[in-house]
Amino acid sequence: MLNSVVPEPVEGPVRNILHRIDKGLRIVLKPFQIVSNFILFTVAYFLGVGLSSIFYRLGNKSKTIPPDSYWLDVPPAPKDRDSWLRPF
Amino acid sequence: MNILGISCHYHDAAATLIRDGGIVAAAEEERFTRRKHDPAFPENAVAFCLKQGGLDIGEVDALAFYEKPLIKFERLLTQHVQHFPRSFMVFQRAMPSWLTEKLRVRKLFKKKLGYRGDVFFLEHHLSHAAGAFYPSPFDEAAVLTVDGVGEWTTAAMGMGRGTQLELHKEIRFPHSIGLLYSTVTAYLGFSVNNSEYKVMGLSAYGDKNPVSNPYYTKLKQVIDLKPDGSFQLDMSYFDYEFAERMPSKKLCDHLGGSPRKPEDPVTSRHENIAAAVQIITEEAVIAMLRQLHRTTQCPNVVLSGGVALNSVGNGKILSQTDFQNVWIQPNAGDGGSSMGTALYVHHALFNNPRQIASPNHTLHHPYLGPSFSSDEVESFLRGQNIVHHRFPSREKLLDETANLIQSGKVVGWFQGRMEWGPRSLGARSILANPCDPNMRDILNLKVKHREIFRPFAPSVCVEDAPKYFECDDPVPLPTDFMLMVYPVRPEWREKLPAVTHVDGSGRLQTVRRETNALYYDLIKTFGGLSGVPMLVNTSFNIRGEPIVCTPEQAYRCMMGTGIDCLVMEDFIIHRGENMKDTWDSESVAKD
Ligand SMILES: [Fe+2]
Repeated sequence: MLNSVVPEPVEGPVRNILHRIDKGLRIVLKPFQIVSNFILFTVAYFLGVGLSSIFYRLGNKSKTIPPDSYWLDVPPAPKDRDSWLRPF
Repeated sequence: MNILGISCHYHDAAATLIRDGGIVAAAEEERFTRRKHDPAFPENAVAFCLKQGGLDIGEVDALAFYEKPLIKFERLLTQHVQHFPRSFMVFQRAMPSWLTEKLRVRKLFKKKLGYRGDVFFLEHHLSHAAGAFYPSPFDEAAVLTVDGVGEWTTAAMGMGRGTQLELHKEIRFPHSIGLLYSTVTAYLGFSVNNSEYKVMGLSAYGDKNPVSNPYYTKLKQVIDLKPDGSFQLDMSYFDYEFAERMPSKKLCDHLGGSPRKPEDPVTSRHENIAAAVQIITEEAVIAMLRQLHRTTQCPNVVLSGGVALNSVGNGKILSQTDFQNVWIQPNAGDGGSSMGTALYVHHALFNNPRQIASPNHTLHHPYLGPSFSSDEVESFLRGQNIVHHRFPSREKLLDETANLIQSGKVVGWFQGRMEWGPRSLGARSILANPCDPNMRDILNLKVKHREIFRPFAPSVCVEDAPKYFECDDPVPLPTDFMLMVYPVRPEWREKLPAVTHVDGSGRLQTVRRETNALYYDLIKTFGGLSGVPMLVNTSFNIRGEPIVCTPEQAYRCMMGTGIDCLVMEDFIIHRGENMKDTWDSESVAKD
């Protein structure tokens, strides 16, 4: 490859065979995966999201008057470094 | 200390490597994979950054990710709960990628990069803010970030002082100026998260008078904009909370009909709608900036987030607010957040002082991508049997290139390190004569294959800019990144037909000798021939493709388009001297 800074992918015979097997399996299993995902996510949606939405609607009936400003306060950023290691 | 910043999984995946606070390398993944706005994990961009820095992954001390995926996931689930059961299809489409990839970022770093160290997660808008503040030349600055949406935040205001940066106020999803603009972009038949700049270009054709433009009044009914710049959208006009389409039927009816299909002609109605959303966006951003100045009293402001790429609005910041200085991250979209998140970890979390005077700490130029030596270019040309000529000297290169441009030729310009951000700025550019009355049509039809209404940008040496443009004095630094639009001086408009937009404006790029000497000298050499030291500078790509990165891509782009010759490092390649490539650029010119 011409590019002086972008490294070429490492390819070896064993890696190549494993890669092809993996690719082949993925192709064969793909339709099953799509169907099972659809069923699973449908159940999760109607049970999890649906039930939560009932509680959400019960608890959100009141209408609020528009305020003078829509700016919201941002909570201060945590000071300890470790809290930034969390993905939430 | 080596820190790798990464942004991905939404659009414009990118990586940045910093060493002891200095920016070593930065690039977007799309340049390597050739998929525009590629959101995929940026393994190629990371590989480039590491190689440029002479590092392997084990030498990276910390990895920084540009958002908090779990908080974003919480927002998505909340949307689904609020909009059950209308959100069913979106839920089905979105969940697999969330569960397999987006929620497992740490695992992904281990799997794809072999990285086992600390991973720091920043909020999306804090990453934007850091990308605007830390590479800026200001020790203190007020900060504004505005985009579509991060985790929950869609706009935020804050303050940076020394190593510390804090956001104080925010607007939260679903209320979003960026998504309002994207909704109108979708309504006008352009692709979302890609073609917002086309709406900006189209807006110049519409009625910019809020009183006489009927769509301004209509769109104002959709947004409640307060004098302090805060706002809320009337969500009955939008479907993006629960569907993949953005405007609701109510908005379509409100704007007088169904959305424009991409192949439909653009009418004056579309132009006026584009103008209306542009005016409202400018009003909102200027109101936010005025509020930011009132609360901080700081003379400096920095901006980032996708809306900060709106160069038409940016050109009004200094004249319509009390800020005296402005700086904008050149890669203001999500790609730029990879830089921000790494710099925040270095300065704010590890308390390393900023060194504003050091050249690679402040971002004076955007040339942070891959480069290719003359030897590498020559070996490519010889390997492919491409007819080429070596310039005997730098002077010859400048003279011959300027002569070609002066004689009406379109020149591909490939020199040094590739630009960081969405604009070509004199490293991977297509250059032409701005005084040629036919040049706009030639570029649009033969080279770029793009919509006829879109303008071309001029490059001008910084000291010459006030002669041709009614720009701020002194010329603000973001103009170097082609982020400010100013009126062309009336006496020059007819003389610069290729770069003067229909409303008399130009999206100029100012060039400084200290940051790009070769390009600066080319502009001056061309000025010596033509009497106007200015070049048309458009990105070295065709519509729908990312900007070229390698010599091979540049050669291919020339051979498939109306580019007449390619000046690549020390070499010139004429299209006419080489066999016609079988690649048909027009057939791939799509968004
Ligand atoms: Fe963003």
